[in-house]
Amino acid sequence: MTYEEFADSRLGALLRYAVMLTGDEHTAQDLVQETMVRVQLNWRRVARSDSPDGYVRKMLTNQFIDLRRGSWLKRVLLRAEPAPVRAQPGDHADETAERDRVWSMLAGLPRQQRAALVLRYYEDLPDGDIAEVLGCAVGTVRSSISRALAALRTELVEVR
Amino acid sequence: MSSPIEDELRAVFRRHEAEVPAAGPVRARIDVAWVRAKRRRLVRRAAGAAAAVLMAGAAVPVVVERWVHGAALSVEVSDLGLTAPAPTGAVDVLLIGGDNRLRNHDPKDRRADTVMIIHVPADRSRVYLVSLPRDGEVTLPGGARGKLNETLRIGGPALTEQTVTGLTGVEFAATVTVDFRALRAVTETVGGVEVCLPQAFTSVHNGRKYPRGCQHLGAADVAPVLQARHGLENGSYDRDRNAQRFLSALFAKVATDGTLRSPIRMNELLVAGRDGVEIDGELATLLRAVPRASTEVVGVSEPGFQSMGDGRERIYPGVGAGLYAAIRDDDLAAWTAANPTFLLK
Repeated sequence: MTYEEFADSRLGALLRYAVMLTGDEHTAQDLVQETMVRVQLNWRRVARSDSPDGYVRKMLTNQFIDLRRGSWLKRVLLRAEPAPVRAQPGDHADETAERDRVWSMLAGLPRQQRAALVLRYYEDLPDGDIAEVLGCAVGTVRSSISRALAALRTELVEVR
Repeated sequence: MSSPIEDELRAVFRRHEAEVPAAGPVRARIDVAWVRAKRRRLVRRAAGAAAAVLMAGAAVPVVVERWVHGAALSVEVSDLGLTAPAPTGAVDVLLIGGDNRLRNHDPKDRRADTVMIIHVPADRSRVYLVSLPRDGEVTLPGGARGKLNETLRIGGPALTEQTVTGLTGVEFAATVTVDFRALRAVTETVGGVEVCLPQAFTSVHNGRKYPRGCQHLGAADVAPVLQARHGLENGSYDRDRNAQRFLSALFAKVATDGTLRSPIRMNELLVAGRDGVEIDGELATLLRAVPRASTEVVGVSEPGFQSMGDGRERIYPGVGAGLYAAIRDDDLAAWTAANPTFLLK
């Protein structure tokens, strides 16, 4: 497979994944762009891996999560060190507003937890594959997902 | 059985699919960014120059970490691919020493004087340098028999790599091609190296007599010593071992003279080695695979040869299969213990 073929077939899916991770289309574009440049730089290694798709998803996820090493995210999103987002009390009957609240609460989660949620509930990956993407144990995946769900539930209850 | 919050999450994600930007314009932006990144990569290649030469050593990652943690930079290391997964297993790199002369270096007309597998085991305890004889017989594309050193001229480093992989089954993380310009420059920068030569010889290149024993080799001695095979008992086999000695000595020098602790010195080294090195593969991964601190360098090569006619020789006729398997299985520690005659003294 060439890089062009890969980009043709996978760019859309990567963008969708990045939007779910970052919650913002502009940040998602930057994240995908940065990742795809690295993919091209390292294309040999990517193409040679068992699953180029999985490898790239892993690169993108790492880039999203990894703030400590001074990645681009630190520069671009320095201010966005996730401050807990408090959902605004709103109209309980309005289901759309309720859903948007969940969306904005996702931004308050630690990045690894958010990534785990996206991988399970958007990408529909089994826990074993999620663990592979995040580079952690399956148990860690399950506990971070259940912690994230608990946090969301608590916030929702508070709001209600 | 999913809970309400889980259902809600799925619905939220689906709903926000509407915000996903179109792929076309993003693709165009990536292409623009890629052109810029390629330019940056030239800088990274420069940094790779000395790194390539120093693969035999444990040094570079320490320095790179120091850089990343703050010293002033003239080489862009912020871009060293820190988000790529760090290699954890064994790493194999193919090191090719091109025979470009200092005058008249035509990249089209070069042969591989030195072909070396650098094997860094998963435990990072040692670095193994496994030399392959340059006159070793290989199958060229199209099925003809030829010599290993011809592959560089016929198909460049990519063909040499493909040939070695075909022979040994070892997959390489990268191929590094160095020529004498880089080796000279780096040797000059570190102020020469101490190498113990087991045989005396007179260079046909500069006419100088190199006595047996430990001696100081300066930049001007690099090419004569690394090219010398006439007058050595086992010709190019002994030359391969001299190349291993040289790389070990270069590492020892850099590891002990404080270069590693000085970003300025290190930077000089990287700049010095800029010309004459090509890297096919990802430098950052290589750097992070290199072991730390006082690592033992183990040279492996064949003591004698078996002629196949036309000046071609069989590569590792006796132990080849076992040796290649040991590299692939990351089991060289056991192999070298069982085959001490193949080790560099």
